[in-house]
Amino acid sequence: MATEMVMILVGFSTAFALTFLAAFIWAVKSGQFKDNTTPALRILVDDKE
Amino acid sequence: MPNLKISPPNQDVPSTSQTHCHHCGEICADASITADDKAFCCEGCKFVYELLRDNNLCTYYDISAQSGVSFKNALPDKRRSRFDYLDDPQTQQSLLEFTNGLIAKTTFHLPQIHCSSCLWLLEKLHKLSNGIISSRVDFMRKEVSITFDPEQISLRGVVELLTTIGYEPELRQQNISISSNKKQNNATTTTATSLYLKIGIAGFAFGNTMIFSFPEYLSGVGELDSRLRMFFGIMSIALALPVLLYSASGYFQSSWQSLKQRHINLDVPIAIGILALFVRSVVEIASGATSGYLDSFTGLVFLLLCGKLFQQKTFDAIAFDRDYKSYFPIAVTVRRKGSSGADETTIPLSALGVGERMIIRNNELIPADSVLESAVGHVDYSFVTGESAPVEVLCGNVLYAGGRVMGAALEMTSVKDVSQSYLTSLWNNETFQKHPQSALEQVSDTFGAYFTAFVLVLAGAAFLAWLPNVGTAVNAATAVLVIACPCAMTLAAPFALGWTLKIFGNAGFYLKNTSVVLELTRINAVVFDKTGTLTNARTNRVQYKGQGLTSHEQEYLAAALRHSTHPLTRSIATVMQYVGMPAAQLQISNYEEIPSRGFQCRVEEHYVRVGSAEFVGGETVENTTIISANVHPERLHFQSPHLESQHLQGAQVHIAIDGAYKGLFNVNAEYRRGLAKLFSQLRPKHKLYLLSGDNDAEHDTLSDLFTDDRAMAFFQTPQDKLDCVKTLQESGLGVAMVGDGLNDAGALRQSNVGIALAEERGTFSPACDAVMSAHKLDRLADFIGFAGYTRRVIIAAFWISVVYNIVGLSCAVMGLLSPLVSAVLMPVSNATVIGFTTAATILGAKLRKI
Repeated sequence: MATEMVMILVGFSTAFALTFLAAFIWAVKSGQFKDNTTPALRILVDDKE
Repeated sequence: MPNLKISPPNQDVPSTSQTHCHHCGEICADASITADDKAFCCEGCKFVYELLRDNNLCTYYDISAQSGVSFKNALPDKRRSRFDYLDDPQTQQSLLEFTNGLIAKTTFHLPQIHCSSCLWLLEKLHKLSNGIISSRVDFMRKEVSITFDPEQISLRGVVELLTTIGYEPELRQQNISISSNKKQNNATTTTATSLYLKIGIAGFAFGNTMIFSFPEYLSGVGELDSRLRMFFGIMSIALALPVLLYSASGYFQSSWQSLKQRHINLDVPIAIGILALFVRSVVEIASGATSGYLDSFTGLVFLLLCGKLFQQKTFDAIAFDRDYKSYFPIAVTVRRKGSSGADETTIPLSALGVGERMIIRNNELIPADSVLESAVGHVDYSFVTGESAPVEVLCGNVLYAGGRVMGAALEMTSVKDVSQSYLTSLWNNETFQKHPQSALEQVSDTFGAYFTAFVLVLAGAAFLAWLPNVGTAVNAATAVLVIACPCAMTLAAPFALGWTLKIFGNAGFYLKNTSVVLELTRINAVVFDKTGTLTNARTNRVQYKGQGLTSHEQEYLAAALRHSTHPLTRSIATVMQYVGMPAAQLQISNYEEIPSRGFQCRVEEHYVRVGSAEFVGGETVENTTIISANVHPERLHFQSPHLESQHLQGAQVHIAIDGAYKGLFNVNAEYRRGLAKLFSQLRPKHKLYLLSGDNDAEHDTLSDLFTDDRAMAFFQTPQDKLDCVKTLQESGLGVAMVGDGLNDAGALRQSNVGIALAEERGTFSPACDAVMSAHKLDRLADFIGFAGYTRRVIIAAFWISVVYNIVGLSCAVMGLLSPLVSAVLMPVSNATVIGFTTAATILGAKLRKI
């Protein structure tokens, strides 16, 4: 019984971890690692509008 | 002594030189240009301020004060027609990345981008023009990507808008051949992106397989429920498959390529190792013997890829592969016979043929060899020859491509094609076609070949030794393949070299790639260019020798000098402004310039004559230095006493006021600081040479540095320089060439390490292996020394990995390898190698103060 429980839980946790991998792949593909200087400067600029 | 002023600063005149421009921060020479109680240095700055004010964009000045781009160095060319070529559909097509008639996208390189204000303003372009939809800045690359509506604003309109606010896009020949360029850019971006993905997937698999392996390590072999073990094994294989097929694919492709060419590179032993790890794991999991080595497998791939990423550190803002096309404009003004007589039109440079009559204006480059049609003019050939002083040319003289027109616009007829001209034909030399194997490739390929042979022999020996017992024999042989790790080369070198690259970068020495570090350790001859390399091309040492001048006389002189366009007199005018001489607005009349002699004019009621000794009526001067200071566009240096020769040399400008001879200004190139020390540091281990395109006027000064007369060569053409470097290499020397201009391009390319000096980050430099901030030249010996240190660190790391390999391989040969041994040994050995190289490199840099 305990063996089956472990298998199910490991399956769930791996599936959950896969969503983080998917998020990382999305972040790379959407170009978030291409330029990591400009966004840092952009956020410092205040807009008085 | 250096800072003797002619008279104490005049207290009555308000010190206008202290007023800084509200827009760009330059000193205002003239207080009359104001708006909203703010002072501006020129009409251009005031115009931008008013434009921004009217559009509620004054936040620009709040983000960082006086952040504007100065118009001082911009082309004084205000003609609207100079962007005519942007209306040419073919040129447009090559500059636009995308267009469908409704929206168009383009990217410009704006070298002026320097602060967050620039970023803010350039991303607010849509407020200045309705046609602009959006704009995005890439700060490191100094690029702006603009999306606009071609119905409302043309490409030319966008360029003109950017130019108005001080950010004139850099439109060069190279941008025109962009289609190939962009493809290349996209390719590098894709490899970078896919490397991140590969690391992400390998890291993910590494973490999870490690967790799946823990139960067995903790409970001991055989204790774990066999079903659970099988489950963990299958899960591990599922996670490891993408690592094998995707993350590690580069190693298989690369080793396959090299095997096809009957050659073994470093990726071959890596591919054998990871393949052995994976196959053996699958076999052991399937047979139920153990839960496999997949945690070691994924971990190894993850670390290898991290090393690769680390080594790939690049300097975005610096291009190492520029040729003359990056310097040349993309369009040229020509005079063609049109319907209404001779019309001025602007055509793309690619359409320029032989026999075209061109008009080249002040500060523009001559794009092709041509014959001068105007009566007289000045051309600065520092790009081509290294000769610093402008040359006077007369009608009928041949002008060489790459020369920069100074002063009045010149008309000329082209006699050669752009690519066949004197300077540009240098790029047809075979040196520019071949791509020699880099030092790192050589070393790692040799290492890879020996390592592969060693591992295969050892695995074979282990197999034979156990032979009657086939099971154990296979076991031992595969264990050898699994555990042998070429991590000295695959991890130590990337990390040590990667750190060195970063450390050099922080110190102002930007290498093209990590291999250059190794090339530097093989250097035993250093060749220097003179103009712009040993001397500072932008700084002149100006000395006044003669009678004292009253403050009124200084005013007249300053006004007269500022009126002239000759570069020498402009240099003097700048130095006078910086040492606090008055800069009042005076009435100038009867200005007359006499070619190759000088000029004369009337300032208020006084008569000023400036020029050569005979023109002015020079006489012997008492040798008193009255003013002596070095001009730099931004700040004033006072001259350093060393390297100053006793007698007068360099260019001299004599002056007379109201017919009375007053004295002379001596304008000299200034040598960079710390040269004497650098040369004494380099001399023990390196042969030193000078290749100057300039004349030998500075021969005596230079013989202090180059002790041997034979080590100095003057009047060198770009081709001579290339040949000279080649001759040195053929005599068995590893040559580093230090140069700056296009005239050194051939020598830089031919040399083992070509180092281009750049006055500031982002300025143009020809194709080279390294770009160095010009004021860091005095540290060159330290940089070469540190490269040698890095090499010793890698060798030390090699011995560390030898120790681990001995331990691991003895286990393997004896048939004692288990997943646990591998899971402990491999990370520990990898971590030690990475930790050691990182610590040793960083500590070494700290101790050597790099």
